[in-house]
Amino acid sequence: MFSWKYVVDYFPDIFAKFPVTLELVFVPFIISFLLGFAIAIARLKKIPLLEQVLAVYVSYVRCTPVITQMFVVYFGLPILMKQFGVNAYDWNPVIFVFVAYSINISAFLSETIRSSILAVPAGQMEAGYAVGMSGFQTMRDIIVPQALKISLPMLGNMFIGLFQATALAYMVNVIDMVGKARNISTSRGHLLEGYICCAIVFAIISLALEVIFKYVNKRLAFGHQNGYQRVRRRSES
Amino acid sequence: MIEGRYFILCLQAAIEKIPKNLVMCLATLVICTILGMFIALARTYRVPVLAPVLDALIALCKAFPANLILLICIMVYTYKFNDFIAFFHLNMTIRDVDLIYIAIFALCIVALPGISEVLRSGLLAIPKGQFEAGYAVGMTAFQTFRDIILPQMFRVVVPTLTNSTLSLMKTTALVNVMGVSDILKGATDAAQDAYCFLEAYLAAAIVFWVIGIIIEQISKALERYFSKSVKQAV
Amino acid sequence: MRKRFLGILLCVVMAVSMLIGCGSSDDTKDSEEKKQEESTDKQEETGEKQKITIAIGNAYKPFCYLDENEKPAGYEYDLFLKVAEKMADKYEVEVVCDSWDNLFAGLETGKYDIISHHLAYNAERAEKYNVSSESLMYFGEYRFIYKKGRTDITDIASVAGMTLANSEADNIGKVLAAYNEEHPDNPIILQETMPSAEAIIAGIENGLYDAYTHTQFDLQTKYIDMYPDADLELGTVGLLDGDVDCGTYAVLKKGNDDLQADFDATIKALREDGTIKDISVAWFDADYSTIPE
Repeated sequence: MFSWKYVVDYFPDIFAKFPVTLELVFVPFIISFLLGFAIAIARLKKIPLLEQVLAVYVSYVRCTPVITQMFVVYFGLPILMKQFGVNAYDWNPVIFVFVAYSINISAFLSETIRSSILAVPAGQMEAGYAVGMSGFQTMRDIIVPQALKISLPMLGNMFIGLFQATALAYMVNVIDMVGKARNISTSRGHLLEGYICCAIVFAIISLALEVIFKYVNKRLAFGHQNGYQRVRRRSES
Repeated sequence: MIEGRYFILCLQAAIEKIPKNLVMCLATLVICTILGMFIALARTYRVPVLAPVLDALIALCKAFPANLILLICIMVYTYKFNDFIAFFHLNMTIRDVDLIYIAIFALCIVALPGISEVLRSGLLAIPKGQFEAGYAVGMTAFQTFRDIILPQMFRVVVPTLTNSTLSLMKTTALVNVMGVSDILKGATDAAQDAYCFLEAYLAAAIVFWVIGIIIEQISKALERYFSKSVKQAV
Repeated sequence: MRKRFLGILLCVVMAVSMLIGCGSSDDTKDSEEKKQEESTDKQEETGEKQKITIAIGNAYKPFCYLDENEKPAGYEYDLFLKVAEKMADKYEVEVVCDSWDNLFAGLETGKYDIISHHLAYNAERAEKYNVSSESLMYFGEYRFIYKKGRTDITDIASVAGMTLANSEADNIGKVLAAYNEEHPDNPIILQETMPSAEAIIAGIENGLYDAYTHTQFDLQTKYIDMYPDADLELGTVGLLDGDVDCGTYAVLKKGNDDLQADFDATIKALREDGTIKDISVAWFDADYSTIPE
């Protein structure tokens, strides 16, 4: 019954939906990058009330499976939007996945960004002030670039994780690669072959991403080490 | 809006299924820790042939989305398990295998890369000198590992391992794609009549949240405990 | 200064999320309008007739769904187009697609006059709404499928002690669970299964399950017709005794009896002149306009 022939046969149709997967990765990642940054700053500044609310939010996202988060958004968001007089029931299901994954990734990203900003020595901030830079300037030109470099390995892992998590989107009727595989199987059968086809695409892209991130990290880490060594040497001499 | 009556109904159904998720989670954790230990040892001490093969295997396992691994496992089981029995001349039928074993098997594939990676970092954290010290006093490699390396590793690894447990617990929410009735499926099954799916998913989320918070607290407590013992030793 | 930075950042985030939110809702609104325009275009310009709207689902293949080009399609859509034609002397009928959640809400607000979503008869619903007395199609009784050539499986009592691929959660699962409670000494083993026809068929073929039960319509279209090479046989005996309602019905607002009478008459006429049969054969390769054999 199982035949690799079908894996090959289904490949063009399934791979045609790859742009949907890309969309599902990039839109939430960009939104959550901004959102995660805002959350990290808000928690670092210890704004009362907001800080507690955000702590609960991060805890919820960290401790619950992304699949339940996705369904809570899928069923909950339309009810919420109804309160504002917006009919969300006809929205393209992709939007619910965007929202759900943005919520998910932004919480994890905020944790990463927060710890990376904390990892930048406090002296850097003081140095910025000392040369007459404003708080915002110091943040933008000194702290954030360093923090980003520190968080890059984590960001890479998170990106790959998000990419793999998009394989769940079919559950809320998004026709991504997995959804397409299921659709094909309703008319032509051979669901297993369809899944294997998807799995192969996911695996190849994940492996490629991993290699790319490793390369980028190595390049950046190299520069970083050099910089520190230079600093150390200068201070020793 | 959310109806309290339905929410309670779904919550009860979800709570009933907690043991199933815990069993799957713990069984997977134990199997992965044992297997992961061997893999970590082979990879850390670069056993010829085996180490590169395991490197590739772990990288491969990590590359597949979890839910596809689960789906493919269950389908391969339904299609091919009879051939498997015939091939090994096992004295059993396909019915003797409960679905939960397939779920645990699939979860192991999902969790193994992460856990063996944690164990490997634990091994790497222990200075090579410890091994040499063991040999120097005439211990065998196994004795050194058991009496010197493992206890030290334990301290490094356990807090991180509880983190892996948390993500493993979350992964168990996916087993309902195989038809195994877990917390999530329990809740949504209860919602079938009233069509109250929001309540069901909220109930499941809250159950997972509580379990997650408990695991996080345990992790924190362990971290505190182990870091305290280090200070005392010094 | 720090606060200002934070403020700017928050504004940016909010603006971005608003933009995304609005953009997408505009899109959906546009497509909705287009959809409605298209369906109104189809209606002929007819003088002073009563305007009614029939709403069906948009994601329930093969009954009512949006096809690859986002156009309405399905058995119920074709059926209601014929209904619209037939009722054209008295009404100006518009057939639209909407999501399941909106159907009943739309009925209550008066946006829709008749809704349909392959709905089986349900006493609770009949109390709250007017339910058409003519059936749109019949899905038939619950039957078993099992491995070809087996003769030991007939009715519900014959599968006692056997393994059935059925979850206890669905309608028939509840009936089976109730049967087990009555017969604790020799219960039917209900084996949970992956919700996929292929997995169930493979399980039956290799002996994981003895049988699986569903309605005649589902078994015929999703199992027997879809997998003609499968080693499967559809049982001939119904699972439940006698007069179980196996039709699907349209739902109207409570008290809208005049419209219901006209609608029922139209369905009846369409059944009698064979129109429904033709649509059924076109979609399902068999006649479900009357109770299937």
